Amino acid sequence: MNTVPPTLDARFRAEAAAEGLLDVAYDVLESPVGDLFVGVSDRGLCVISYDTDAEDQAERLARGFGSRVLRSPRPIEPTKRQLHEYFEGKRRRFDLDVDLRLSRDSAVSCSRSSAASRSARSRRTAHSLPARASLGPPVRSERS
Amino acid sequence: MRIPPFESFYEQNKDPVFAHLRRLLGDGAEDAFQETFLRALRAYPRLKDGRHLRAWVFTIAGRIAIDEARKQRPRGAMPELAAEDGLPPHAELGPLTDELPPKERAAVVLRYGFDLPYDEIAAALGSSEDAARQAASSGVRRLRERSKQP
Repeated sequence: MNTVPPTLDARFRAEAAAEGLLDVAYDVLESPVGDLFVGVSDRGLCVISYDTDAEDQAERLARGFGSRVLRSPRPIEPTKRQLHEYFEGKRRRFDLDVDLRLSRDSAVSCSRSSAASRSARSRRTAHSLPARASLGPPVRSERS
Repeated sequence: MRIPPFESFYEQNKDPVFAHLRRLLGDGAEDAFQETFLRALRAYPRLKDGRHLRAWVFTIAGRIAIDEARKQRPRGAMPELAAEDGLPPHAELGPLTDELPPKERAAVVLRYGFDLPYDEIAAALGSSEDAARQAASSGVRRLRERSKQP
């Protein structure tokens, strides 16, 4: 009775993201290659990692992006959908905004192909940040 | 002390804050809960110290609860104490302490309405424990004097 009902908890987490109050929204997603920790900043995908220790990850993200790091599934939806399509074999390239500010020391591995960069420039001339990135193939398909 | 990621702060405080708001507001607690943590989230980047986060968020919740209680009972309405046994202490204190200086009012409401210990009140007010104790007692003195007046 005196603990926060799950619906209220979910409502707050969604509202926090909707009001643009988060430095990073994250969630842990299930995938055929294991659970993935996925984080999104206001600029785009900023972390995707097999390390799903949320406390550690949140600490690191808070140091890099700001203290307002919160688990909030809604901003992760586009990434989740595309990962799902990818693992179903319906997608080869990811079409997501990415935030590379922490990428040097993070588990994000984004290789920017020239084609992707060109399409980013042509489609989003107003953005200085790379708007498209290709993520490498998952470990399993590498082996197969 | 370092400020933790908001997730940790939220997880550590959400249940106590919710329980507190339920005691104060009953069914109105859900909206007040969301408003409390949204307000905390807005102010979070400006925090300098992670030591008194529990007292801090309880203070925010308290202010929101007072506003809610005011909405439920318009300002100026006479408190009918006998008929309001179910009202939380802070809701009675809110209107009664209206005319106190802000710091004394906050100290009185936090101490006697919310039953917070003086060290947490001090943290909430940004003052020493002695100053918090003093503010509460001079607030109470002022209320007594005022109640003696016709």
